[in-house]
Amino acid sequence: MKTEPLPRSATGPAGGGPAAGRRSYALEQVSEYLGSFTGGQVVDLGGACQSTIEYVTGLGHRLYAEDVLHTLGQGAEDGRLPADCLDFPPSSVDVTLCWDRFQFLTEAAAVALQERIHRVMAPGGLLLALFHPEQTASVSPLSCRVADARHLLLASAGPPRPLRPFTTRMIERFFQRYDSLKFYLTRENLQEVIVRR
Amino acid sequence: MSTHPTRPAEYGTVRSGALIGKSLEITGEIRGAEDLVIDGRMKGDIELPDHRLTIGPSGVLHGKIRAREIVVYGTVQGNLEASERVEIKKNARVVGDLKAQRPVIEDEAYFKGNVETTRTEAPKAAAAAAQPAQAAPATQPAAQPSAQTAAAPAQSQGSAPRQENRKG
Repeated sequence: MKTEPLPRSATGPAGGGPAAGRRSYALEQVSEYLGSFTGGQVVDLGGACQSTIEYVTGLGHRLYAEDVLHTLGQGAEDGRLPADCLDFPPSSVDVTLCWDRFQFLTEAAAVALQERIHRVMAPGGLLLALFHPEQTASVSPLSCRVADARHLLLASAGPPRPLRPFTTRMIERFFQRYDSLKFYLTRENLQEVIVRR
Repeated sequence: MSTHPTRPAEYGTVRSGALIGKSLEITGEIRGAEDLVIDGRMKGDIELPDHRLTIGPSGVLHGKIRAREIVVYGTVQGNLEASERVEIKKNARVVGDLKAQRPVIEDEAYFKGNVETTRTEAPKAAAAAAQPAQAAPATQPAAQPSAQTAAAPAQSQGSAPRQENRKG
């Protein structure tokens, strides 16, 4: 298998080890979609990072950044999100970058977040999520940065946390209200999922 | 409020301006034509259209900011709008929307809000969208990626599509 050279221009990680830049086909789909219009709304639920901000705003879109692990923490066990979490009008968000955050939330919080995303996303909009291998019991959340239209920079951020395993079937059920799902398996055995609202 | 001929190097290149010291708490609006550093607590809007506002590490601001440059080391709750740049430094905490020509958010800063850049030149994709025949509403792009396009990565290496489930 031919390997791609890693991008060297991206910034370092947020307190983790060295960032590993790699090609992402899910990101390519998002980039293709974002390149087809301007003035859209992108949501990054992994928190703010400079390279993603530059990439998204460079395409003429707005970027809303919020780290849901910080916002929700151990809360939302009752399935209710804080009112100011993803406080957007219905159908107003074009792309949501969820990264691996669903796996670090309680089931009730993850479902509530997924439902809120469904409400605020525009029909046809894309959601990008990552899922760790099924057998992983705990892992550090990923700090995910968009380096360019094709490359993601992934680094561990913070100490390992227990995560909820998601099988492919569980992922399909989790997003059953959405129009379509597409899976990509990466070298690191991460599953990249593109969900179309 | 005091006037400082020079500011400590950690606040960057501020040469002169006003300082709201650590022990000061202010409620109200500030408008002015000189640089300002806030190390205390302030509740209210700040407008320095041609100057720089710095929120120091112990500074806490609840209110909107409009300035030429905004640099945050401390805490801000409110929208920030700069005609040039906004910098949110490491360990700063900002909840609010940010609008600037050059927004910079350092690692380990906490930020929650929308980021929008203002430009003098059109963004890359804007040129294409400016042509009337190709213009599309912001939230409803005219062209959806076709099934053929979506399947293209399957021939590439690195990560390969495993399956696609389409409904309806």
